[in-house]
Amino acid sequence: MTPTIVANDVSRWYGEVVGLSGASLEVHAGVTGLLGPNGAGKSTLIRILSGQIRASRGAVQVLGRPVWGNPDLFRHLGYCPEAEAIYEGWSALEFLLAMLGLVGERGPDARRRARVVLETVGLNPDDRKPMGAYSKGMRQRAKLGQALLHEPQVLLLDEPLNGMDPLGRKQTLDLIAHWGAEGRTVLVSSHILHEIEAMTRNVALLDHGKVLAHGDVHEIRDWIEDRAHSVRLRCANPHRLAARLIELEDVSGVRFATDPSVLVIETRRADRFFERLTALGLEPEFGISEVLPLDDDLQSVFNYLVR
Amino acid sequence: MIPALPAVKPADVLRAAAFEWRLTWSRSRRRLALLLHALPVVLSVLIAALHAGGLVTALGSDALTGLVATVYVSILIVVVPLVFGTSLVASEAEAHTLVYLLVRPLSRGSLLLGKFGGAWLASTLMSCVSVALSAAILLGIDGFADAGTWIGRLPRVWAVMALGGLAYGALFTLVGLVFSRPALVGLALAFGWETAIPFLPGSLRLFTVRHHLSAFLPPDLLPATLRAALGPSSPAVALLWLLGGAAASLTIAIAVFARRDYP
Repeated sequence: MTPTIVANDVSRWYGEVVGLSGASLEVHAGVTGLLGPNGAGKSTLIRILSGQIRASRGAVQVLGRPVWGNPDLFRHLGYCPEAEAIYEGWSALEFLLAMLGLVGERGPDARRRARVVLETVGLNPDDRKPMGAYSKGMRQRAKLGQALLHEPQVLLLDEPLNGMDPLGRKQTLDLIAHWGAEGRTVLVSSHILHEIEAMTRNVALLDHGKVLAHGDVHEIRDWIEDRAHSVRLRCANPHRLAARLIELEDVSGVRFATDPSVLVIETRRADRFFERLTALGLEPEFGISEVLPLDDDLQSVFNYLVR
Repeated sequence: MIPALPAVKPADVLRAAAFEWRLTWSRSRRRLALLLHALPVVLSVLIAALHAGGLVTALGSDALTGLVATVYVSILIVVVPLVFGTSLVASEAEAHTLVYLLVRPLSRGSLLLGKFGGAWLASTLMSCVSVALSAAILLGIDGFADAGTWIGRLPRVWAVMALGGLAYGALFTLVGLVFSRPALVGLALAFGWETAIPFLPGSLRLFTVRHHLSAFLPPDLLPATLRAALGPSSPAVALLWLLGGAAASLTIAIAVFARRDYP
């Protein structure tokens, strides 16, 4: 099946700050959760996918077409930004009518369409209050509404549940799951795993600007727990330490690094291994001076997300 | 190689213009624009009240001439485009609402041109209404004795307000896209460069908007400082300069806008 969204080795720098660093991702129809802690690069990736900013390196395609400088693509793409921005002086209905007007839809049909969308996202179309007086949750709903107006095939939703009350969250989660079930491609970002799990099992984990893993959330969880962890040890007597470590049942491999004082250990039971390593560290004959887990990123991201 | 400008579709430009028109009249935006245009009207009411109280003896027509020369074609004609031009994109970018426009199926060229057109139309309408109200109030002082003269002059004032809005607006739209502090740069242009006309040597004055606008106004409607300094200028040539300058400013503005990231 052809992916709807393709990001290929995408990097983006803001001056000297790295927003994305070689992120690659393929997204198919249905709901995909983009998970990662704050600052992981989720919004940067979504902004590149929605044509707000350009990638410094790499390429993105949506529906097989490049995004930047391709306004026709937005007939099929809806975007709900993370920023709480709205037109303060307009009511939600006026806002949606103005957005419809930009694509040439006016009159009773446009008004009907705007009213239906407002009802879909849980706002009262007859509420004439300016959006400046809206609660954060109501603003989120209005923002979501503008993304849906033209019934896009692809929806990019950046933290759409931020600031929503529990009922709003539930309704929005159901809506997103529904759009995915309809065959639309929905890429939704969040830094909260259980929010994403309520919509989909298909997630991409992002941290430090890289896509660390992509697939079924339960498979990722199992994979993280089952996979070998690498640990770098610097010590005074690496050969003696290697001989001792290889006897341990928690250690699946030991190799010597280029630096003769460094060993790289592989273990499938990181917790047990570190317990034993603490004891070994107390033995002066090994002279362990440095312990550096080499692949903690994924684990730490996941720990962050599930805590 | 110079990259191609984004395609500009007339239908999209009209839609974006309608959007900007609607936005200009929205609750949060209309206040400043209305306030700016109401000030000379309030001033006219004040003059009329002083006249009624016997504190001012000037004829209504003279008062209107003074008001047009010192407020409308000296200040308002440049301040209003300064406000709408510099904030056309910057205010939406700062408020993070620009994103809603950039994810619509309109090229950035159409969007910018349309937004400019909508803002220019709205501000021109407000200027014309403001001038008309001031004229009605001040000419009413003498029971509209000089109304006949002004029926011929008012359309020229309106045309100058519209042309000034177009030329200054386009220039300040470009300033708003290029500079991080557009208001300061705009003020320096409006009240520095533009008012330095009498002191500019040779053909340098051709690069001021005010010089070309003066071709459309009778001398008594020009600010006193400029009246003596400006040489004769053909309205047709002046029109070409103004339209050409506006077109050049907007073309560069579109090129800048089309390449800019809005994170």
